[in-house]
Amino acid sequence: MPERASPAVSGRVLLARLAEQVIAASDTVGATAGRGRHWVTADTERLIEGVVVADTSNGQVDVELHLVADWPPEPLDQLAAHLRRDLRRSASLAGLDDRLGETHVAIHDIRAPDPDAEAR
Amino acid sequence: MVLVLRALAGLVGTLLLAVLAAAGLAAAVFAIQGGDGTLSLSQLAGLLALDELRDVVGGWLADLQAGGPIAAIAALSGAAAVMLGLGLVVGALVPRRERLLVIERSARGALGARRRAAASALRALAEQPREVLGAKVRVRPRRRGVGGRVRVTLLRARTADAGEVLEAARGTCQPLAEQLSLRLRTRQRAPRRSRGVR
Repeated sequence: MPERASPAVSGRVLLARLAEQVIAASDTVGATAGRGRHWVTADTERLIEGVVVADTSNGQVDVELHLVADWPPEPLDQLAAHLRRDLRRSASLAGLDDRLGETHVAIHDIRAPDPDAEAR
Repeated sequence: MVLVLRALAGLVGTLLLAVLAAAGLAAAVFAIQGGDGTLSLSQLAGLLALDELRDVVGGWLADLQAGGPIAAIAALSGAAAVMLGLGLVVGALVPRRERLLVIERSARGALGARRRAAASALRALAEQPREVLGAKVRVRPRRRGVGGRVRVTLLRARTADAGEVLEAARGTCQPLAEQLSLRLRTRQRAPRRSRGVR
């Protein structure tokens, strides 16, 4: 369900929420705020981890996704392309397509598969 | 700016350590004998002309107390020394920013990875052949632009053929290295011969 823009929340934060949802929907990556918890966006009452959004001079919003990828990593260019496509689609549904600028993807770590999850 | 301060802090730290080591060595050597012997501390004080230094510094300190142009110069020098000290503290304490490996950059955005993430993935692949006992991976991103270099050092079993090990590791690592826009270099070494348990 796409988010509707409300006067209380800026388009920047809405895009951060959408990016968070896109990451959460992915089977192969997770968000990371980093050791110093640098990679976060302040929402109204919480922090959105692994997403950094920045207004640009042309009125758009650049989005950074800070991720931990699962092992074995899928081809990273494809991974980035999937995430960008999903974010673009979500932004379009939310009426924020024209606000979305560049989407940068940073892989911070690669995590080993969870043996319990594999057993299940 | 921080880069300059960091380099300065490293240089000053090294010089201070060298001076400290030399002073410690001199003090140790001149503490061998007591009294007024050749290798005594009083002899060291004489060699360094500490008496004359006390006279010079004493006069200068008296001028400082009196005020005037010398005091103004001293105050400015003190302020500069404090600023330099603060700069050195910044250079020593500000954390180094990690260089990210940029895999691709386009109008849609950039794709990057931390060196550690890229290295750990490549190490896992390099260690897959049975003949490889371990691998050390060093990723060096370009300062500007996309990609970089990676060097994989393989520790092979003593009985394994070096050429085959290199070939196998290259086969497992090359696809990911290409994905990461890295130029792969591999080398190998056999474990050191140990004397065994006695």
